[in-house]
Amino acid sequence: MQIILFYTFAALTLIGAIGVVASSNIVRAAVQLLVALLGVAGLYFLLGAEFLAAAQLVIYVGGTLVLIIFGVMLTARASLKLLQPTRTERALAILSTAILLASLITAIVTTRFAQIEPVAHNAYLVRSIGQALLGDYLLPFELASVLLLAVMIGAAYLAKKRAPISREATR
Amino acid sequence: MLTLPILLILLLALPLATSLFLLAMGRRVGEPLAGYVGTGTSMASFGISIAMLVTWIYKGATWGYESGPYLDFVRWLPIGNYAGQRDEGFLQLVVYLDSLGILMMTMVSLVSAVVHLFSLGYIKGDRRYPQFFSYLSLFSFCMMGLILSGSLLQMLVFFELVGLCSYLLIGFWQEKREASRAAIKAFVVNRVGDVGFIIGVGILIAYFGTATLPDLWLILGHDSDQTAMSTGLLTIVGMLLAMGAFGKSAQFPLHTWLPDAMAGPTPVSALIHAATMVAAGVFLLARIYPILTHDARLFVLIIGGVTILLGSLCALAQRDLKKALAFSTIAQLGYMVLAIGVGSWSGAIFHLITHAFFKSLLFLGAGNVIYTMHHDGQLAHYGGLWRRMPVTAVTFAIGILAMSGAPFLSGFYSKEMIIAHAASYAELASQEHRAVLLQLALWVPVIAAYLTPLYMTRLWMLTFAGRPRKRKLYRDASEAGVMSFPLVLLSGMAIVTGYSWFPVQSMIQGTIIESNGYFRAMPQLSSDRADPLAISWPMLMPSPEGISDSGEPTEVTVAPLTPVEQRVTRGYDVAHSLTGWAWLIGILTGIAIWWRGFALTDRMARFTPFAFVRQALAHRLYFDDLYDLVFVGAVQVVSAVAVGVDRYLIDPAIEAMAKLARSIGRISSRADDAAVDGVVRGVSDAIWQGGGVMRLTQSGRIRIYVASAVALGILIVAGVVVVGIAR
Amino acid sequence: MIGLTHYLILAAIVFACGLLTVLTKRHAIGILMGVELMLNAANINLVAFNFYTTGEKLDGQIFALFVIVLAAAEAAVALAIFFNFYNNFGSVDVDRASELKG
Repeated sequence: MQIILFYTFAALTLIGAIGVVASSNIVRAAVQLLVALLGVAGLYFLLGAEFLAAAQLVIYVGGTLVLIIFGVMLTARASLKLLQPTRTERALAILSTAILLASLITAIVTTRFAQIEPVAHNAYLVRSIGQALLGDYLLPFELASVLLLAVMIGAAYLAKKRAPISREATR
Repeated sequence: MLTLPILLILLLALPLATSLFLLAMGRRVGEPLAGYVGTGTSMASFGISIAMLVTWIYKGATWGYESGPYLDFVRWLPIGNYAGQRDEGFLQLVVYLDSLGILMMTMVSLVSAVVHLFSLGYIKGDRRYPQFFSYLSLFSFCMMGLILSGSLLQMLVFFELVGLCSYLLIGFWQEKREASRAAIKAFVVNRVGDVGFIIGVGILIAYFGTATLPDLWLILGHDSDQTAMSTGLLTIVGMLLAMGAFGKSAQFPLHTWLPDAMAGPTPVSALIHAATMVAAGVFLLARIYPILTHDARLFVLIIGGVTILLGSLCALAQRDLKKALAFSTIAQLGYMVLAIGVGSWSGAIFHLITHAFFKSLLFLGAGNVIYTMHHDGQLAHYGGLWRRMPVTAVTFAIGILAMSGAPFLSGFYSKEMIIAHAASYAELASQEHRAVLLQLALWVPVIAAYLTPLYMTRLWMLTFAGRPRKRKLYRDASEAGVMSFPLVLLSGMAIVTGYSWFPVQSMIQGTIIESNGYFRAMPQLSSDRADPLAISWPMLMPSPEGISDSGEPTEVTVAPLTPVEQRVTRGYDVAHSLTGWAWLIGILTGIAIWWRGFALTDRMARFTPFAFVRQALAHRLYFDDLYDLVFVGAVQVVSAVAVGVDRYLIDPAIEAMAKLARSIGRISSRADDAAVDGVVRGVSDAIWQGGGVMRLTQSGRIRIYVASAVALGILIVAGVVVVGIAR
Repeated sequence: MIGLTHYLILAAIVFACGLLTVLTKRHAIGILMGVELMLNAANINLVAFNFYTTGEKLDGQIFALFVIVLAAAEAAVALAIFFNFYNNFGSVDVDRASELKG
């Protein structure tokens, strides 16, 4: 059962990820990203991280992705087609990514990880996360909230409507 | 009850609150009031740090520092357990305050208060008046945070923050193309150093699980062979950490940003680019001194020496008042770095403090001149200003004397200490290693000691002596009171900081005593490892009581001198005989050469080699051009190659297709078929792009930068994997 | 049986896809999507390591949680910058942003 689920979710993730790379339409790419994110959420469930899976669904799929799609819509006056890179660029990019992937997989396969028997189900997962967040991770937790505040202000400031910079002024 | 923690919190919170307040409400508060708020809080900060200084000194009956530094920890981030961690499994936020910190704080807050006062006049009527004071306050906050940091990670954070303030203030007049460029340049060049710093800190954390300074001193101490880290790696870590300091302190390979930073308002140059932020690099070196191995210190020494020569020579030929001062700052920072390199920890700090005062004095004087001259900085337009601005002329002269090392002024004592320690280092080195080249550690600062008064006198002669060279600027030229008072105050400081009764030397000495006391109190230490700061000679300086005002050790020392002390004493003799009269010789030569302004040097410039040298120095030995060529050029080469491949291999094929597609497109020009339309448009775009000369100039493409960075990262990953498998 | 290696290889492939997206897309939002993919790959690694090597301790999951938060923040700022860019250049093509050149 677990094996089937893993391969299902893995396939979902991979289809989405490859779709994002391959699709030439930005809206389609966003939908593919959604598929990939859903797949990752499924993987979290398998890895005993139910809370994280829920967070992934709520924050990523519900928040970030909607944000991205809004971004696409608001700039829809520009062509929806993804601008294509030149072939040389694409070839070089594929080559370097292939090198990276090869070396990563080699490293993963050759390394012996010190594994333990996984605990399949943590009955107090949310409680433990809450305790960790307000215990050991209290400072990062608070800093994250400060960061979110800063982001909110910064994003509002940046997106404020201003007159476009004229070419002459910057020369 | 005002306890130390409350004072510290006040010291941090006051400027931060002021900064935020002025940023948010500045426009409503309006012009004079915003400045008064900023100046008021900066003076309050100064008051607090004076209060702290006094309590610190008199908390015991004597000059006792045995109770040790003030330390406080907060858990920051869990990172897993390492052996010997103080706080199991956690990185910490550390507040670390010792005599050095108190000294730096007092210096920073004093210079900051004075600069605030000066800015009231200088920045008057500017469009962004409130922002200016907001940024200044923010800078004060960051500087205080940096001084209080007890962890390298924290120092990194505050380093970035002072870098940000520096960026904001250099580019304060952002409408000036020059200023915004200089701001970006300063930011980017500093990042280069910071990358080294981050990697160094990362290695330390990976090995020891802590970035807390006192812990690192304990772990690494002076004999590094007991630790998990090999000496070679430790040397590399030291060099990487030092890179961060070099970026901030504008040392040799990364010095190019400082002269350009002079495009910012002059009070900013005085505060940030002369007294405090650039000194933060030296402060960092002082903090990591116990971690530096011998080889790492040799690296620091070489960089410092090169920088001294570079700065001194370039300062001789600059045609802009502030840029000449910037190069003199680079040279003086080189002195401090060299001092760290030769092991003269106390000399470096001493010079840092004295330099902060006389250099900010010089900069504010220059600011006064530039303000009076309607923001014209060209030396060629000045001359004869002493009639119009007597106070500035006199205080500027005091600054020059202090910097040249004239007796009874502060620079004399600090520079002498460095040269003396360098002399004893050179002696030791030539005895033990038979390394003749290390004698340069003595000769470079000695030569520069003659150059310093020369280039400083040049500035004074060209600015204040002679006759006005551009009369148009001299309309209603006179001094403003609010801008002259700070000069007088600072020139007082430039005189007294060197004296042994003034609590500078004793505070430096105290830092060493108290950290030793602190480490002795640590239970797990054997007594022979207990002196992490006094690791090796010639860290020690003769105790303040043992020095007379002229800097010579007196006969009152009761205990027989140890070999180390003997060598230091001999070093002082050498320093005296070599540089005792350097200031006078330099100044007299300077007066002789520039007696008639540029007349003599221009006549000399008819002699071709001299003209060539002068040209090269004025162009800062072409380092900026070199960097432009190498780094900007590299990106251009990459993109040119890509364009070439595109054009000669791929474009012809596409072009053929394009012609085909175009003819099809022409035929079915009415067709609204999106696919055909898209193909046609895409293809003709390709032709336009490929065919135009325009593409050759596309060097600033973001994706090329990203791609180069990614390619580099991939290469590193692949390399690591290959090496790992080969093992 | 599914082991740690499976997850790591999956994450490596997802990461490669993300990198490729960043490198080949010229649409600013496309690049943002690539970054999101890379972050998700890192998250898979974190959670997988947490599951297979640390057991009861939840450090990996908490790090992943922070990554999700930061990714959301990053997306917000990136989009704000992107809108600015769009306003200034009237285009979504990042290659138009060559103002940085000297």
